[in-house]
Amino acid sequence: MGLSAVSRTRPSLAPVLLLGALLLATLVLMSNATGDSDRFGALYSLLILINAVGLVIFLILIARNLRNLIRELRERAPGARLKLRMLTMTVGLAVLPVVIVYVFSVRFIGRGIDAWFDVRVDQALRDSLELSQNALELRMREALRTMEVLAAEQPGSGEGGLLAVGNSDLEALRRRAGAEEIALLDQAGSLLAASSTATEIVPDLPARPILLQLAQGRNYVGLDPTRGTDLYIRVAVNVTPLGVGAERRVLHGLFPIVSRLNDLARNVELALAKYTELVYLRDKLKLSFSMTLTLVLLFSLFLAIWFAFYSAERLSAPIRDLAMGTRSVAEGDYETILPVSSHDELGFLVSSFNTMTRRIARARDEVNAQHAYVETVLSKLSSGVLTLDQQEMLITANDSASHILGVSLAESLGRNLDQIAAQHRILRSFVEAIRPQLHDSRPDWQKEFAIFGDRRKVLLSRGTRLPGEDGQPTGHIIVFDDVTGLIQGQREAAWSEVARRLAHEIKNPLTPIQLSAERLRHKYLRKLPPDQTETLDRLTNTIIQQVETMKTMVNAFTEYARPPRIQAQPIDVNDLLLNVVELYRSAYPAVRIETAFDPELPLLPADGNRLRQVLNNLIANAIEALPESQEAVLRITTRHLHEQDSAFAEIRIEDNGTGISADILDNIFEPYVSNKKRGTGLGLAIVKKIVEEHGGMVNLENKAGAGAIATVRLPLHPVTEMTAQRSIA
Amino acid sequence: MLLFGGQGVHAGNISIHDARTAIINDIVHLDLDLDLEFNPDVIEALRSGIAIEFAIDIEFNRPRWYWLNAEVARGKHRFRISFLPLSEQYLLTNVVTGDRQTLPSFDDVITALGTLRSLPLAEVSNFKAGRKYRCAVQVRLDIEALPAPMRPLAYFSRAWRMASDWFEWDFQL
Ligand SMILES: Nc1ncnc2c1ncn2[C@@H]1O[C@H](COP(=O)(O)OP(=O)(O)O)[C@@H](O)[C@H]1O
Ligand SMILES: [Mg+2]
Repeated sequence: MGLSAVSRTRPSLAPVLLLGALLLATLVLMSNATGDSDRFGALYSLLILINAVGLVIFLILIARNLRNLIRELRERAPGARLKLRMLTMTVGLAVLPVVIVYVFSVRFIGRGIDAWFDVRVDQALRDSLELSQNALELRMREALRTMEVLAAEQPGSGEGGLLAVGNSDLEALRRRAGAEEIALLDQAGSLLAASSTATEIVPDLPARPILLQLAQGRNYVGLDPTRGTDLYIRVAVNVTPLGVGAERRVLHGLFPIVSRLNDLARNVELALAKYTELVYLRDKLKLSFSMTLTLVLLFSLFLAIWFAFYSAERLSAPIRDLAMGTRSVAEGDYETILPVSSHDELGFLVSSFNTMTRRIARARDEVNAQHAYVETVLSKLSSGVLTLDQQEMLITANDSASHILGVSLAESLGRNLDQIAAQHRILRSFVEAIRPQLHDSRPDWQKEFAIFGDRRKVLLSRGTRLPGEDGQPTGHIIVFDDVTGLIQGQREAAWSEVARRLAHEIKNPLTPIQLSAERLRHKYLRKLPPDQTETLDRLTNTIIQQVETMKTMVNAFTEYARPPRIQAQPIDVNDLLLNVVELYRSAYPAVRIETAFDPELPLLPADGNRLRQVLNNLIANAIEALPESQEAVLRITTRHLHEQDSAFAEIRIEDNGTGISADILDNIFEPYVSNKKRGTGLGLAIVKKIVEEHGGMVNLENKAGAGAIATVRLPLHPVTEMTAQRSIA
Repeated sequence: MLLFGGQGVHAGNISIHDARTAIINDIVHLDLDLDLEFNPDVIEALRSGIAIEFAIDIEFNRPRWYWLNAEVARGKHRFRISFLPLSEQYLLTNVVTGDRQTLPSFDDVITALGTLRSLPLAEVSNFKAGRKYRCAVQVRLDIEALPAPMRPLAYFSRAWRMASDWFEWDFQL
């Protein structure tokens, strides 16, 4: 038996778990990156991107699941509503706590970040910065004044103006001012002379904006952090030339700051820079943390929802299978085998279902086998069997039923009795006979009735109600037999008995009556006066003749009632016929008797005397039927016949007489069927009896033109005991 | 908080006015003239202590009629602007060379950044004399150099998305 397994596609867990792990990792890295930007800072944007893509993939997965679910719900697929319920439950359980935690976390982060900042700290930092600035300002102003004094002294003006200033002059100035480096530049910023404590050959020169400021006539002083780690005061002042047309010069100096002040100022600056950066980033940090948290939230939600889908699918799949399996069993398909996927209660349910369908399938097979068995028995039954439902619809009919009724009932299955009767006229009498019984209150009935088809048939029919599950009748079963043969036999047996009695009772007194009549005649014929002799003679003759007739009749009865005992010996039928025909030719010279014998006809095992009786009877009937006016012709033929595996001798006796009258045609072979004034009606009955004793058949029918034809077929093989026995019955 | 650079605020913008190459000591140098416009948001961030970096990408390509252009050399420069609260000056640092420059006002920063001179690019040996090369340069504000919390917003803000188009010219030894 081919068992079809229900196929099932299950969502794959591994890729989703992998994706989940990846997202989790990026989220961890992201939370680190938000906190300190050095370690994973460079990856931050990439992490966000990966996360967003991952979440979108999750969203697509969920959307696909959701679409499937909606479709299933719309199609009312089994298990869909259960899935929905499990889904809403799981999602509800997961979403609410996660959202609550999220809301609180976001608030806490906001508060936490705000707690970093304090107005007093802010103010303190700004104050210390201002303090540093003031301290430095003092030094700067000092340096500026020193440089302005130096510039006013016109360095090197004594000996040939500014052009003649050499590095040695500047060295002296530098020492006086206490600067680390002093340089003299022309108005375009090119170096003219320089002096420095440092070993560097290239002096540090002011940038373009400073030169621009000087060109506008404003001296410059400012802090410069560009030289290593220490702060310097950079001063640049214009040196106004004395002579007319002389070019403006720039005196540039770098002053170091006391190391302690330098350190403090730098620390303050660093701390403030860090603090202001933090203040500036405050909202962005909050947003950033919230975003990370939101991503975590979405990740958790999506994962939970996806898992809800996954587990709902896993849980509902066997239930859906069960539902579909039950449906297919209900539709009559017992071949469904469901996959057993788990070892829990559901798995147990599924395997129980499988066992159940297997059992049902086996039971159905058994029923089918029994059905086939009953069908075989019914088809081999010689009785006709019909079943009808409550609406008199034909449910089943076996072969014998069709055979007995003479119509093919296979085409009439599923029709009711009225339709069948309308279809087959032959069945009208049958339907009329059983219809009242079906409506009868008695459950069982029996009836004998005749139907008229190609020939008259007597049916013995029995019927009963078919019991249903709850005892209510669900239909009828009708069994019937063709008892025509049986009745025929019974009738023949009865007639034989009558004939035997008649012969016995009547034959005995006949001889004394005849003898008495003859003695009467001898004794009184001469004694009586002549006018009465004639009367006596006529009366006694009548008695004697009538008694003679009665004797023949009684003999015929005796013949009919005689026990069947044939003494078979090889007989040449042609010879026998020739003998009989000669007799008739001399007796009826007016009748022309034609013969056509088959010379090939072999010897036949038969009782010669009986066979002669058969021929006598048939020929006598033919001659009696011949008309007196016309030319009477009798034609007798023999043939050697081969049919299938049996061989026959056929004798045909044709006449051109009156033919058989229609009213007796059907039962012409029955005893006492005659339309002759003095006929016994036993002739053909005896013929039939003898022929059947020989295992043969006899048939009498009207010819197309005029007259009748009698056909006798006798088997050429020896008569078996069986056929002899049956003939007795 | 400004998310997407609203309609009223003008967006930051960089456009390359001119770019030239010059060869000094067998090294190809780049002179760059830029027009820079800063969104107040950026200046505020700068004054709050956020360092801002500009990346300059230069590519030398050899055009090929039969195939994609071949890349011959590629250079990178990076300038960082930061604010010094103590001296209330701006510090402009060339990250590649380490050159630092203090500038008293933001206008000075714009001027200094707008006239970049003698940025070393590639050695002359990379190029064949007489052959034509295609030079391309782009300047942009590097969002990835900002502190992590600022980046996501900066990507979506017109104030921070400062990037010039590629400026192309022919170059021949
Ligand atoms: N060859 C025949 N032609 C016409 N009718 C026949 C013929 N043979 C028999 N019959 C009919 O069959 C009837 C029965 O014949 P049978 O049994 O011999 O009885 P009986 O001859 O005593 O009447 C006859 O009365 C006759 O009507
Ligand atoms: Mg007769």
